[in-house]
This record gives sequence, structure tokens and C-alpha cells, in this order.
Amino acid sequence: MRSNLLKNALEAGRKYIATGAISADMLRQEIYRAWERSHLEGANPRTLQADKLSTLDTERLLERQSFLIDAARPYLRVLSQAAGHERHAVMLSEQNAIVLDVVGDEQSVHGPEAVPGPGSLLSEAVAGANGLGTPLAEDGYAEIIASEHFIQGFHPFTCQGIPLRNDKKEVMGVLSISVRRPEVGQRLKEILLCASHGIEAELLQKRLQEDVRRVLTSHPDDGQPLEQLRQDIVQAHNAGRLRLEVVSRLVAGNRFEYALQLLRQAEESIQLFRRRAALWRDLASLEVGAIQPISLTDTVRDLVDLLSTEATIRKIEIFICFPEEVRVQADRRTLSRRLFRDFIQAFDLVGKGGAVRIEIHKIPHTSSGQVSLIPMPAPDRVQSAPIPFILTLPIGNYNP
Amino acid sequence: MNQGYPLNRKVLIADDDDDSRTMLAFLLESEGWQIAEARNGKEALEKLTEECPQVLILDNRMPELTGAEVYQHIQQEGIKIPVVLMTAFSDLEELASSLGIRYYLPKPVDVPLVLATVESAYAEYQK
Repeated sequence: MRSNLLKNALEAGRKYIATGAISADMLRQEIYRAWERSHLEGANPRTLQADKLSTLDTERLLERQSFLIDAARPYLRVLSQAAGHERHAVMLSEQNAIVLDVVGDEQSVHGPEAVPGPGSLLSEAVAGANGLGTPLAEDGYAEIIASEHFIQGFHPFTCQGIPLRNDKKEVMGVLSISVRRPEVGQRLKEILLCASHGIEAELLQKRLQEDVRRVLTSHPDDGQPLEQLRQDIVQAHNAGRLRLEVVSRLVAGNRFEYALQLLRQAEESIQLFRRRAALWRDLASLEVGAIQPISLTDTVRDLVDLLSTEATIRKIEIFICFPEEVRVQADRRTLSRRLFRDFIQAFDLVGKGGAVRIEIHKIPHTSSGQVSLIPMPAPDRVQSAPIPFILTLPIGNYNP
Repeated sequence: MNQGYPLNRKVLIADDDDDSRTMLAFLLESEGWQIAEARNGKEALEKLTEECPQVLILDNRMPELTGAEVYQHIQQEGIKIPVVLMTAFSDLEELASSLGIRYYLPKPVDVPLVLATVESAYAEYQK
């Protein structure tokens, strides 16, 4: 199947060079699209190597992109480690497919047939369909197998790449891996995808670090609990990174089954980190969001999840009583911040060995929903029961 | 099989996060270390006596006792063990310097750096 695909791509390439026509029926659909773009943008199929920026321009570019390079470096290393002794190169580019960093075996990085190094221009317009330019143009994962590359110089490689996005979903660059044997690439695909999410989490993590400095100065009352919460969130990211390291060692040692299981867990850790980090940023922000129908139940549940380590450290139990899902009209950010403050105050009130009971319900005969945090102090803590924290909100009409 | 590593060298990992602790244990084990684990500060002090490790990897934010409290206790007791403080605390350098801890690493950890730092700490123990 694959050999037919490659034979057809090779033949399509010959025809294109001879006649200037791209044979749609001989190429995979995404490769046809990529060749068409490459043709329209003026890429030369006879090219043997990529164009490069000058040394000075490359140095300037690397300096400007140091945030992304630093975030990606551990994942480039992990991917390269997973490729083991195979000929391979892991590459990072910025958002215009200009190479920023390359890691791999000596031959692939510095040998006579090395992959393009930092400063190389790999947009489709310059280098045709390839593992960095095509994922950018397609706005998603892409694999280019051997002769499917538009220019002849890239035919020895099979490349796959995926765009990297920041927390605003803007494309920051591309992570790709190039190998000599296509079957090796397939083995590394899942790790590549997980590593790309790891880099995105890393960018987010660095952003959290910057945010916390701002929070500590701008609203010092919340600063300390928010900083502690950030540390708890980073644990999920730490676990994800360590799992990926273990995965790459297992794959290098051909222990695929256990590696796949761990890879799924690594992906889960990364996604958990992203969800928690998004909520943390809402808590740390001063912005007000739009009032809209939201699930009060889910909002409280997410906060409880976020505060689970804090509750464990303080030895406080949380009891949840949600008999039904309640949707309210509210601004999610303001609501989360208010609930967060109430939780921290409730924790302070009950002390070590205490508990907080959370009740959420619709108020009968009204169109309101209510959340109550009921502090239940440790027996030796206070004489009289503290007043519950109660928040009443209008019910939201929500059509899923 | 001993792959050229010194025999019987042991590291105690004190971290309340099960996932991070287990994965780090796996990685250090594959580098020839014997592993002891603690899930909170109190357990860390107990394991220190029971297991006699040569290096202690210490998280800061833990139940029972924080890493800083564990370290202070170690100092008071006069226990000689190199400590690698490993935490997501935002001002790690200041925390480590206020405690007098020489080896410290920020979370999320860079694995080659962890392995190198633990080796350096072990080398200090042997002096």
C-alpha cells in the first residue's frame, strides 16, 4: 500500500517536472493540496537544499524566539531519545516555518545529507511540501512520506509535523520529526503529538509564573493562596513531563505496550494541567467576563478539584451535596473568584481536622439557584458554628 | 545486574504527588539507584531513619510537614545528608538560600539535570 503510494508520488513528481501539471489521482489529497500551493507560490521542485537566513539574522531570530526554544528543548530531547539509534532529526520552527532548533543523531544533524539547520526557510513557498511548512499551511498534523516531498532534496526523509499553539490558540511554531525509514515515523507519531501538547503546556506554565508575580503585587490578599494553588497545578505538568521521559526510554528499548499506556496517562496529565491552569488564570485575572448561562455545579466541582491538595495539606474534608445540576446566569470569572475567596475563608475558619459541606440547589418557587459553603470546624476549634457562605444567582436558560 | 553503578546507593524521594514520585523513582532506578519513598514530611523523617539513604529529594509543599520544616528538623538533629530541594515554589533560589540548601531544582523538572544533581549530591555525601 505504502510502496504504491510512494511509486505514484515519484511518478507524479516526474510528470510535474516534465509537464508542469500535478496529477491529482496519483497523490493523497492533502499532498495534492500541498503541491498545488507549492506550485502556485513558486517553489522549485529541483531544489536540493533549503534557503537560509544569514548568520546574523539567524542569531537575531534565535534570540527573539528564546521563549519558545527553551520551552520546547526538553521535548525535542525526549522525542530524539525515543527514536533511539534510528537516523532521525527532531525540528522546531517558528510560525513562518523558519527552523529554530534541531536535535538528532550526528549523521542527520551534521552529516553530508543533514536536515536543514537553524535559520533554514521551510515554508511551502520556499521549500515546497515538507514537515514544517505543510502543517502550518494545513493548520494541523501532516505527514509527508519520502517522494511526497515537493523538492527532490527532501526525498530521503519522511517527515511529520504539528503546529504549536499558545493559550490564545495562536500558532507559535511547528514541532516535527524526520526519519529515514517511514515505519519508524509511525512508531513515533503518538509521542510527537503528546510532546507538542507538552510544549504548549510548557508555554502556559511559563505564563503562569509571570502571572503569579503580577498577582503577588497587585492583589496581595489572594496572592499567597494563588501562588500555592499554582504550585499544585504545576505538579500535574511535572508528572506529565516525567511520564514522557519514561515513555521515550521505553520506546527506545522497544517496550511499546507499557509505553503506550504511559503515553495515554501523560496526555491525561497534560490535559489536566491545561484545565486547571485555565481556571487558575481566571482566578488570577482582574477581568470581568460576559454574563451567560453556566453550570454552577461544574464550576464548584472544578474549584474543589483545584483545591484538593490544599484541603489535603490542611487536613480538611470536603463534602459535596449536589442533588441536581444547577445552571445559573453569571460571569464565570467573577463567580470563580468569589467562590475561591469563600473557600479559602471557610478553610481558615474550620482549621485542621475540620470540614466544609457544599450544597447546591434550586430554590423552590423562585428562579434562583444557590450554593452554600457550610464550615464545620474541628471539635476543638470554636464554640459556635460559623455562618455559612451563601451565594444566590438567577437560573440560566441553557440549550446544550 | 550492576551496570557499573556503585552498589547499595539509595535515594529517598519525598513528594506527596504519587505520579511524580513513581515516575522519578522509575528513572532513578534505571540509573542504578535504590529507592525509598515518602508521601509527606512526617514520613520523610521516619524513612530517613529506617532506610538510611545517601541523598534526599525533597518537595516543599507537602502534608504534615513542609520540605522546609523537614530540612530544619534534619539540621536540628544533626543528620548529615545532602538534600535536593525540588519544588514549584516561585522564588526557589531565595527559599533554598534562606534554608542553606545547596542543591535545588524547579518543577517541572528537567530530567538530565535531576540525574546530574543527584549524582553531585551523592558525591558530596561520599566526601
